Amino acid sequence: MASRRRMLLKVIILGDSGVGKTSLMNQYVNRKFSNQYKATIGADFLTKEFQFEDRLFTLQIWDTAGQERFQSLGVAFYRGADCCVLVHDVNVMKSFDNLNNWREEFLIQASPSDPENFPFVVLGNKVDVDGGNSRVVSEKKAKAWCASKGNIPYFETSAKEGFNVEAAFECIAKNALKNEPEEEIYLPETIDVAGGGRPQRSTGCEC
Amino acid sequence: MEAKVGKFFESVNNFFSGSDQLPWCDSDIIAGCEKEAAGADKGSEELKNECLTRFSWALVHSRRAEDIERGIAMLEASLASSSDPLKMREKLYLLAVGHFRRGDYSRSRELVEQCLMIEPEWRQAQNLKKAIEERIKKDGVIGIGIAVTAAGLVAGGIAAALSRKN
Repeated sequence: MASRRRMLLKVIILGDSGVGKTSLMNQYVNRKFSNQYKATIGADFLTKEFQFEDRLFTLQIWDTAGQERFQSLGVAFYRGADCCVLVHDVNVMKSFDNLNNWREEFLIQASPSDPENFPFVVLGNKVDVDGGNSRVVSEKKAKAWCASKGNIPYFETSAKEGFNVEAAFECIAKNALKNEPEEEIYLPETIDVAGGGRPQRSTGCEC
Repeated sequence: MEAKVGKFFESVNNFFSGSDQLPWCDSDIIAGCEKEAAGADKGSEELKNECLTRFSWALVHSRRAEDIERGIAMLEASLASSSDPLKMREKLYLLAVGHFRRGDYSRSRELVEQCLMIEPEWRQAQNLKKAIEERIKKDGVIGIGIAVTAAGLVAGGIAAALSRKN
């Protein structure tokens, strides 16, 4: 039997209040959506098991408060993150404009060891609203910004419809893996006597 | 097959490791929030409230029991004088977290149920409720485990004593 190493990957979801961070997480983890908007207090997280190649890992997805008054607590949530998801509402220009601030604030507060290469993923949420007629942030514009920030992967999503959510989180998970932490949790009953090396990771994300 | 076995051990491990899905707040952040709250004394009511909210969030998520107690006390006092339903909702949730971390699961459950009465679709409160229920279950299982082990030891002791008699 190959050793069953389980890794914990911490993913933070950031973005303005109301863009859909909680809904995206809820849709991905619980396959549920609710129209009732309840601002998140501080932060908490949900976990989801994920299998990639021959490995099992735990994706720890942190849902954070978008409201300004919790922002300075960011350092409490951001530490140890392996990937950061920036979410905006394609129907609200300000939420897109603020992505830059969120990204910078995150890099300052999280202080990753390699900020230039820290994995981000951008989600343009709420593409379902009004059949796309109230949309103000075009895909082209969003992709251009993502490209300018080091080719950040971009996904258009609808947490309500469940559109592209699975694909987005798969990409998020793969990007978080690239930033793999040294700590690994070994399940008690197997010891890797053969001292097998780490399996080959895919070189890039196909997203 | 392997994945399934892995998942089984995984869930057993999670059950006993007692990891809840709430953040832990480090003491340097708590200190920062306290300083900020003290400094806001001269500021506007709104600023003071914001600082206190952050501070109480930090306290109830602390690893230290005395911080949690302090957070609970602050929130209870503040709730008593609160009328804004939005603010009340926050305080109820944070109080529920405090009691949960303190191990006072029944009080925590009461509070989180109040939260869910106000807002049934509130994911954070649902998440906390789930954590509370799992913890209660786990404590029950460990309690049974201890009882079974104790009974086993007693039975073993009796058996040994009996065999020595012969």
